[in-house]
Order: sequence, then structure tokens, then C-alpha cells
Amino acid sequence: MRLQQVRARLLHREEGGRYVHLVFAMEEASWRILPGQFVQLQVRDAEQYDPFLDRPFSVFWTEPGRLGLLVLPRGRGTRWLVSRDPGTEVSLIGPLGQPWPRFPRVGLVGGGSGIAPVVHYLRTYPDTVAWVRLGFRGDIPAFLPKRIPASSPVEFWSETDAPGARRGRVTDAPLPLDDGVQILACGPPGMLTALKEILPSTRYYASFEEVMGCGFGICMGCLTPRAGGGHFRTCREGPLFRADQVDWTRLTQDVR
Amino acid sequence: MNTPDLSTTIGQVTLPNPLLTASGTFGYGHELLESFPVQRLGAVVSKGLTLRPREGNPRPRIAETRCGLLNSIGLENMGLEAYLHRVLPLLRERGVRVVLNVEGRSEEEFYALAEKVEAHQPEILALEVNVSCPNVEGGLWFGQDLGLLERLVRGMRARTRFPLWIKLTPSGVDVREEARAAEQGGADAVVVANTYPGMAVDVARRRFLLHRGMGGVSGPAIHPLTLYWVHEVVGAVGIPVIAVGGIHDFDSAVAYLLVGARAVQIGSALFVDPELPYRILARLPDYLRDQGFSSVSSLIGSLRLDRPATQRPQT
Ligand SMILES: Cc1cc2nc3c(=O)[nH]c(=O)nc-3n(C[C@H](O)[C@H](O)[C@H](O)COP(=O)(O)OP(=O)(O)OC[C@H]3O[C@@H](n4cnc5c(N)ncnc54)[C@H](O)[C@@H]3O)c2cc1C
Ligand SMILES: Cc1cc2nc3c(=O)[nH]c(=O)nc-3n(C[C@H](O)[C@H](O)[C@H](O)COP(=O)(O)O)c2cc1C
Ligand code: FES
Repeated sequence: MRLQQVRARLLHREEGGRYVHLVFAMEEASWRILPGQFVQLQVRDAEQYDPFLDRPFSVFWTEPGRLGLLVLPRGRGTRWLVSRDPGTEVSLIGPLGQPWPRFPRVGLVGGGSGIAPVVHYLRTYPDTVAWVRLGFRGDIPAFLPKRIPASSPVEFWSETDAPGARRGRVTDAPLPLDDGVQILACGPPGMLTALKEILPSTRYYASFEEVMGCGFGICMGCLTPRAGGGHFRTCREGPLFRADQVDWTRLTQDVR
Repeated sequence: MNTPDLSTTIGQVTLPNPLLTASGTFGYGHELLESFPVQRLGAVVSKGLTLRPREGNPRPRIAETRCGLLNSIGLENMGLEAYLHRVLPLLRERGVRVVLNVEGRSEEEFYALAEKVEAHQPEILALEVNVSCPNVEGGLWFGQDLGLLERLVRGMRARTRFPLWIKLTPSGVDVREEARAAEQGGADAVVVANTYPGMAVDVARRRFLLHRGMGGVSGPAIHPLTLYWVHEVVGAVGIPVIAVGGIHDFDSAVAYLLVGARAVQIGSALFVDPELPYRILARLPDYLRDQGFSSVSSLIGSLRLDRPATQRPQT
């Protein structure tokens, strides 16, 4: 896949719940970024060099010349990003990572900063989606339902009392596994591990958030431990892996 | 004025321009062939290669620090043999000039690497010998024991005719002394320098940020430190000096040429700005013309503390 480094200009910013929806204009209009792919975004003024590294973000939606991200502010970089005014330009590298596979029938689970790829998948392949479960801590962002096709089989869950959501975690009620459905999930490590305990590992695919140096395979900084030894480069071979291909013990042990 | 000559010579090696990628910061070299005109670079330096494949260190291997990063990759690589068979042909097919970076765990391993390269006679420009990796046991040791360093270079010199570029560590002993030892041993050039040993701590969790605790610091933060050592080493040895450390824009690259580096390598900046070397390359002719130089060679070393003041800029 040809990778490009382009200038992205912030057009629009809207807040909802703990999230910030950012819309960028990209000079390069020919991009098609598939569900599950991500971009590396500069989170500093161009000549500041601090924070030095770009940050990985899944694509929430794309249109020719436009890109939407759903950002959960966390540390220095994400906080800088969500407080930019429209007009701000940053460097963007993409498209990165392998797209999520297109299966005949899928169940989708998203939580935390893993909501974006799930919604992108649902919007791109609506006919394949049997059900979607999205987990939040706090309110459901008001802009989110507008971004989801009408009458999609989406359930919202929240760990706090939130209007329009069931109270609890996405794993609190059984997940429908009929008709050979394949489950694709993205979210915090705790959620991915909890899903691994309850899902058949050959039908469960998890997308991992791993600290990245480059995001495109040249630093060997990111890795997902491989079942049976060795590892994958998360950014290049992933970030989505089938659960039985991952060494979950090393995955959770290594983490700082 | 004619188009300035961008070429540079490092011993017997002539490069069309002085911009290289740094080892370990551009993968094996073939990953971005579809994305960037890699063949336009002076050369690509391979990821550090060892005799046998290596797994590297557990994660986290990367931690961001102020204006830079810490890495402890631990020399993960596919091994020399696999590289020569699987990657080098892809690069040569596209006309990419290649420097092989190698690292051994013992003197014997370094010699075996030299012998293997000599036996294969690969299409490479030079062997860059990493005697300075902070991320494997004993990695820094060669760079810090001058007698051993000189012997190592001599031993490799005896085993291969490929140009030997010795990549030095900026930590511990005086880098000038390291460079002299490498020169004594028969090195064709020295590469100044590798990363600086460093650490970072997560205070809230009372843990080190890297799995291994320590790693190597790179990025803009180290530029002034390495610029000093490059200036000093250029004054200390007769062999060419190649600079690497913290290049992040046009000025930080050219600064190294001014103090006497015959070529520069761009490292961590490639992670966030993979187009940087091509932008520097595109701007170099105008800069040379504006400053009244007809070639990169005449620019190299034109700003030195050990030269007559007339050649120094007016302040
Ligand atoms: C493939 C992928 C897709 C992602 N998609 C999204 C998304 O759509 N929306 C969203 O809000 N977030 C997403 N993230 C997480 C996002 O990259 C991190 O929240 C962000 O890097 C944190 O940066 P910071 O400076 O705010 O935090 P800091 O903690 O200050 O960052 C310090 C360093 O750690 C890294 N880091 C910290 N947390 C994470 C994390 N969870 N994952 C990876 N690196 C981390 C940073 O990149 C940086 O190098 C994604 C991560 C990955 C790997
Ligand atoms: C992720 C990473 C991996 C590296 N791997 C190697 C290596 O395998 N061999 C080597 O000689 N240097 C290696 N280096 C050091 C770089 O080649 C370079 O000397 C150093 O990073 C300083 O340059 P910079 O500040 O431009 O990055 C590595 C650096 C980084 C950041
Ligand atoms: S982040 Fe650099 S190789 Fe994956």
C-alpha cells in the first residue's frame, strides 16, 4: 500500500460526552481509507518538535478530501489536538495498517477510543452487520447517532447512567453468536481481554492500541506477541488480529 | 552559476549526495519503495544485522521523551543471510545504494560477519559496524574499550575489503579517542554517533517506561550534543566523518556538513516526516548558490573553530 504524508487542515471540531469529533480537509483527495485503518497525526506545532512522535488514530469516516476522527483526550498529544482551532494544519501520514476483513456476517464491539473503526465498518458494509455494541464511560456523544445509518442494530452501553444507553459493560449481556457471525472488536485492553474469555477465539478479532514509533513498519517499536512465539508488528500486520493468533499471556504481562 | 555538485566522497565511496538514512530508522530499506523515491538518497543504511535472526526486547520498546524518544528495540532483525537474499535484491533492482549495518555480540561474531559479507560479495557500498548499541548486553562495551575497539577494527579489516565505517557511541569515553582507535585499526570512516543511553520513569505508576528500563535517546533533543562531537572528531582524525543525531530540518542537517561531516544520516525524524530527506535534497542547490558554494564538498568543513577566523562567519 502506498503511504503518503500530507497536510491536513482542521475544518471543524465538536464535543460530545468525553469525545471530540474532528473533521480535517486533506490536500490529497484520492485517498480511500478502509475500516480499521489508521493515520499518524502530528500533535504539535510544526517547528516545535515536542511532543515529537505522531499519534495513531483510527479513521471514523472519510469522504473525498475529508477525514473524520473521534478523539478521546488522554495525555499531552491528544489534549493539544482537541484544543486546536479550525484552520490549524498538521502533518498526516496514511493510510496505515490492514483494513478489517469483510465477512458475510459480523458482530461489532467498540469501547473507549475504539468506537471510530466500528462505526466506519458499519457505514461501509452495513449489510454484513448483524449487531453492534458500543461501550462508553459517561454520556453518548450527541453527534454519534447522526453518524450511524438509521435503523442500524446498535446498542449503547454506559458504565454510568446515560440517556439512551443500557447501564453496564458491553460484556454484561451475552453476545449473539448464531449464524457463524465473526466478531470484530476495538477498545481498551480490559475490554479486549474480557471478550477473549467469552468468545470462541477463531471467530474473535481484536484491534490493539499499541504505542507506536512510526506507524508504518520502519522502527520495529510496536509489537503484538504471536501465539507460539515471536511477534507481529502491530502497525503493519495489524492492528487487528484473530484472537487465536495472539499470545494473550505475554500481551498482558509485558504492558507497563 | 551552474547547478551545484551535490556529490560527496567517503574514502573510495562516492555518493551522489550526502543524505543517508540511519540504521534502524528506515526498516530494512524496502518497506517504503512504493511510497518515496528512495533511490534518490545518497544511500540507505540497513537495520542492524546479526549473524542469526534476533527477536529483540519485549515491549514497550519505545517511549517518548522531551523533543525525542527512547528506544530499546534490542536489535530485532532477520539476520544477515536472509537480508542478503530477500531484501538486498529488491533494493538493488530499484537502484538503491546500500550500506550494511552489522553488529556482533563478541569479537568472533563480528569477524564471522565480515567473513560472510566477504564471501557473498554483495552489491553494497560499505559495512557500517555498530560498536555502540545501548540495547543489547555488552553492546556499548566495544565502543568504550579503546584497545578492544582498535583490535576489532583491525580484525575486520583483515577479513574484508569492503570499506569499514565504524559507528561510535557518544557515551562514556571521549569520542575523539574512540575515533582515533578506529582510525588506527584501519577504519575508512567513522559514524558519529549512536544514541545516548537514557531512561524514563512513569512517576504515577512508579515504573520505567521501557520494559528493559534503559534505552537510547534520539531525536532533536540530541542534536547539539552530537554536533559538538562531530566537530571535535573531524578535528581529531584524518578519515571522513559521517554525522548522525537529531536531524529534524534543513538547518540541522547542513550544520553537520558545515563543521566537517562528509555525509549525514537522518534517523528518528523519518518516523514523523518521511519526506524530510527529499525536501532537504531539493533545497540544497539553492542554499549552496545563495552562500556562494559550487559544491557540497566545498561547503563541508567551512565552519571550524580550528580554522583561521576569516573563514568563520562575521558576527
Ligand atoms: C491503531 C490505533 C488506533 C487508535 N485510534 C484511536 C481513535 O480513533 N481515537 C482515539 O481517541 N484514540 C485512538 N488511539 C489511541 C491514541 O493513539 C492514544 O490515545 C494517543 O496516542 C495518546 O497520546 P497522548 O499524547 O494524549 O498520551 P500520552 O500518554 O501523553 O502519550 C505518550 C506516548 O504513549 C503513546 N500512547 C499513550 N496511550 C496510547 C494508546 N492508548 N495507544 C497507543 N499509543 C498510546 C502515545 O502515542 C505517545 O507516544 C489509537 C491507537 C492505535 C494504536
Ligand atoms: C528505533 C531505533 C532503532 C535503531 N536501530 C539501530 C540499529 O539497529 N543499529 C544502529 O547502528 N543504530 C540504530 N539506531 C540509532 C540510529 O541509527 C541513530 O544513530 C540515532 O537514532 C541518532 O540519530 P537520530 O537522532 O537522527 O535518530 C536506532 C535508532 C532508533 C530510534
Ligand atoms: S510503529 Fe514503527 S514498526 Fe510499528
